[in-house]
Amino acid sequence: MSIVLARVDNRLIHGQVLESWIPYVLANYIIVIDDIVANDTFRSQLMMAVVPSTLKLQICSHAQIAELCNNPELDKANVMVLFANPCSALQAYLKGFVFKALNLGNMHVGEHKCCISKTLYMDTDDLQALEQLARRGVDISAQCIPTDRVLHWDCNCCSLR
Amino acid sequence: MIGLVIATHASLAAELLHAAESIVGPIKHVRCHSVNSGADLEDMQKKFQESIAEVDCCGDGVLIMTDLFGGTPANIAARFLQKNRVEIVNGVNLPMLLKFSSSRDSMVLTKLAAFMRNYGQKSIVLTSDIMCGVEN
Repeated sequence: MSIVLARVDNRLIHGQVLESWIPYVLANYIIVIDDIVANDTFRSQLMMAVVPSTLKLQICSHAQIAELCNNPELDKANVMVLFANPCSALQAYLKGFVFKALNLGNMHVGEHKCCISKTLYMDTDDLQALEQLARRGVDISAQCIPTDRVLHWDCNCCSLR
Repeated sequence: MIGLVIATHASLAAELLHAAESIVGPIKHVRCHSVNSGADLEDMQKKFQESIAEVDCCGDGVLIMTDLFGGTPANIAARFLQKNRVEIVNGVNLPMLLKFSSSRDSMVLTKLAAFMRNYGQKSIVLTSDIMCGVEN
């Protein structure tokens, strides 16, 4: 499996992903790893409906990751994987869904979250998950859409540079 | 590269462009026009003319997108209709604008105009049609 983009985006599949990232990274297979969506038929169906028919989409929970990794369909696919938050990305990584780089796209504002950039707000759980991923060698950067400048995540000072 | 002029009532044009650029990044060779009630039509026409010349920097022609066929922006735009140089598509929506940015280099003006019309129409869907049988 070739992962062309692993991204944290709490909106999962939306305009920026469909119209900017998919043509930019030439993904032909989208994987959404998210327990909430995977267990919500309505949201799953809606997601299936908005993805162009030229792309394959798989929505799975963390419990289904082993099964996902053994799917022969993925061998030759250009995969884009989406997580709603860093904890979900870390959980998938620890279960064997390994990626070399992680793109931070959108993480919404919320209670106890501090502002990192215009589109990124994080709490301590987010920061700890990113630190765990960085410690395992994952290259973490922020770029909301492909025309934005890439900013690298520095775990030591919890900031972008 | 085919140029783009978006002409609408109030500030819809600029806001549509703003929305599109937040999704696909900067869009080049585009001008927005808002026609407010009370605006001088001759003055508007002159401004349209200038915009068309500005965005047609490559000589590939210009597509004008307006919000409402029969409305003032569309009526002024119609005066500029010119085969292979200026085409006008009315009823602009966000999916059209996004598709325009990725298709403007891949077909000639008349084809692009027809493609935009079809794409814009196709992008209007009833969620209940797609989600039939699925309970929320």
